[in-house]
Amino acid sequence: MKEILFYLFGVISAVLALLSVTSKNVIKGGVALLGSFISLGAVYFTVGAEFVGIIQVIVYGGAIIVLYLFALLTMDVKKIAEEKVRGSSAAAGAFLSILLMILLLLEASKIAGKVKPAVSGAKELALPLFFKYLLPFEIVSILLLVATIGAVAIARREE
Amino acid sequence: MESYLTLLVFFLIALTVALLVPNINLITNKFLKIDKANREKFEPYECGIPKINPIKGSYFAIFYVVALVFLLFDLETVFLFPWAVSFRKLGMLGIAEAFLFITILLVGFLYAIAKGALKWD
Repeated sequence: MKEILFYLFGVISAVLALLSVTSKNVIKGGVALLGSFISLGAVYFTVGAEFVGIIQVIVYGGAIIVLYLFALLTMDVKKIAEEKVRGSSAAAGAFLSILLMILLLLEASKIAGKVKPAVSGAKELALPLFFKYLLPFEIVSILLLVATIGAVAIARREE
Repeated sequence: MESYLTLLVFFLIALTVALLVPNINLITNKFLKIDKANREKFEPYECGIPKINPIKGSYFAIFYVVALVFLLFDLETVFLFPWAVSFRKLGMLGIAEAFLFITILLVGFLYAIAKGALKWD
């Protein structure tokens, strides 16, 4: 059951990712990317990495897509649809993608078979997060505070 | 993982409804001969005031800062999720820690409000 779901969501995620880069309409591409992110979250759930799956859905499916769509909102979507893809940028993208894939496959082949399922549910993570790693947890809030203030300060510079 | 299967079923029901409703529209559109290649179809708001092309400057910044602040508070949710699911197990100390976490982040929120980052002008 788990394996069927794993491959199902994996294929859905890959297909939607492909759609998101080949779609002529950028908004449609954004929605396909959202589907891809959520399917990837489901893939994490099927292998037992619940917390990572939750982060994937909340952060990527929620916030990152909102950022993308807000940026797309201000662009002329029709003009982007008519724009020709430049050969040089396509070649550079393909080169980088293949390089990244080779690196990932090399690293993955090193650890293949050695990985054991560890604690990854949100419930199991709560105790270490709130007791053993209390200080880093609170420091994260300061980090987020700094990021908030930085984002606001840069975007709302005194006019 | 098994407890999330219920969630998956709910998600599939929601997805079915979400896919069904616009597709009913698409079928009726075929009869009504609605022009899909119309330029208006590519506008962010089809039925709104025509936009002055292209929108740039502070308009973008406002949207962007709202999205950024949303992203940061979204991340806060990620950290509060483990707290919420094992709320009883963590006891009073857990509540105190979570409130300290929220209080620190609240400073950023108040700063954003004070600077008018969430104001639409």
